[in-house]
Amino acid sequence: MLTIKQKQLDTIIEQSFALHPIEACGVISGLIGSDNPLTVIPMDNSAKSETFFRFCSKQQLKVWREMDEHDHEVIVFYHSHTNSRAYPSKEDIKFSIPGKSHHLIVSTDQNSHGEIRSYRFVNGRAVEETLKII
Amino acid sequence: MSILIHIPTILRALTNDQKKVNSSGDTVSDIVENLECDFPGIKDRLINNKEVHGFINIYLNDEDIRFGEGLNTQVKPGDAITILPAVAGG
Repeated sequence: MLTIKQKQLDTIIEQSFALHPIEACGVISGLIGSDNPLTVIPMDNSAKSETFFRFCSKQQLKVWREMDEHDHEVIVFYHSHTNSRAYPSKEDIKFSIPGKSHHLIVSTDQNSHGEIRSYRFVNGRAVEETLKII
Repeated sequence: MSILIHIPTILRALTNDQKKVNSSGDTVSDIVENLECDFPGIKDRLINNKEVHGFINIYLNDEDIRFGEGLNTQVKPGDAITILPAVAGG
């Protein structure tokens, strides 16, 4: 289960709709081992695509170093789908990073009504989990 | 010439859980070859078709080598290499 604050989710939703139809992406970091998402960090989508995202590698290095300095790790990876529902795509599975992190997908597709779902990637498969908003 | 290499969590199973390791070489390619001797299996995770694997970013100091000379990037004493997972999807 992913427990996330409404304010954090609002930040992600705002970013996702602001960038629509380009896919938005980012992370929420938190203390190592805590499974508690604290800091929303929007990332630049270097692909600038409606169907693909890739973190800007230079920005990623900077953010990862800052997380190290604060004993933080990625608790949540998030991105938007702008033309489909909030289900993992083949590319999401292909690039999935195994581990304990959560993967949040926000759909900004007009037929999806802001659908948001959370997953964990286990053995190359996406397993949906409960999303608890507090 | 010893070069410090930062290993991401996803590859630490191959480095005996070490977060930082040392290796040597004149280019990033040499360093990867030497890493493979110490940590078998790591090369396949870093290189695909003689280029940096699409699932990985390799940085020499602050620069992603994909946007420079790639695996032929020269390294100097005091340089550091950081390996991170590429974060991407559709």
